[in-house]
Amino acid sequence: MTQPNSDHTLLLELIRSLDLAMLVETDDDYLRTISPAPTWLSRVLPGDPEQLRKDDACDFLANFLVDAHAFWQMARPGKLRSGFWIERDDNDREQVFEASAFRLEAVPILLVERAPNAYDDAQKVIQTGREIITKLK
Amino acid sequence: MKQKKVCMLGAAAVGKTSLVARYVRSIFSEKYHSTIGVKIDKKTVQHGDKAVNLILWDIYGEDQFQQVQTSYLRGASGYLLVADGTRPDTLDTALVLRGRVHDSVGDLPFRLLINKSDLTDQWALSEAVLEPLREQGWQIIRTSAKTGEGVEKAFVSLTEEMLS
Repeated sequence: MTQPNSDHTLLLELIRSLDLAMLVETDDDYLRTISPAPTWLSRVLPGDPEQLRKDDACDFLANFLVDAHAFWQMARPGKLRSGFWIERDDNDREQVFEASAFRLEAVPILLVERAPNAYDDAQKVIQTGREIITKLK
Repeated sequence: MKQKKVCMLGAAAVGKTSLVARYVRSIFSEKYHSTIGVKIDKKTVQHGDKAVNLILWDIYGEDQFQQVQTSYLRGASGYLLVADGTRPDTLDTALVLRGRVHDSVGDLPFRLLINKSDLTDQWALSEAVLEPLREQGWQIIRTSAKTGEGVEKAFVSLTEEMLS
């Protein structure tokens, strides 16, 4: 049987391999990472991973954190998704992100991920749907 | 530096993303890619002796597949409502969105952009339709992301009102 410690290591490795950032809300103004911080995290949420000020988040994420905070306070089941958002990196390339807020055993969790593949899939579905409707008109 | 959040709103495929691309990067592509979610762009503009950082929220087009979330409007200083001059139904969508913005964040500076003015042979929006809106004080600007017509004017005049 796997030991608790190695379970934890395995879990962190999983989060890392999925290229996710997992954070907890520590108070009204701060978050901290509970998984190794991916290098891209500083683009959307710069600062000390142990103490990340919500006010320092990029505009879209800062806006979502207002809704996420309300969601955590209400202790509702399920998760709140930010929807995709796109930022330009230093090389002027578009980077797609998505965030989700949920509670795990009453702990307010924020997941942030890069989501280029999910974005492409959603775009294909919606664009195809629009093209079909245009043809039917 | 002062920051101002500006939202781009309108029906799908009216050219919101192209208008931002024209304004921020002076480029235009004929290829259409549906925007899913929100594209964030920034442009620093000079207003008098002060610089202002515009944070442009290019929000996905409203249609039967996607409805604009009003939470995206939080903190906005102004917005550009975009309709397509070749598709009169997109003006209806713009009017619906204008009502939703008003209900959720109140009165904010805005401009109505009638885009794709380069497509003169397909133009389908008459001045008579726009006149009642002008009478209500709406500022309406004909734009073309393709040629650049009206694009600078739209962003600059909105910025001036946001800063006034």
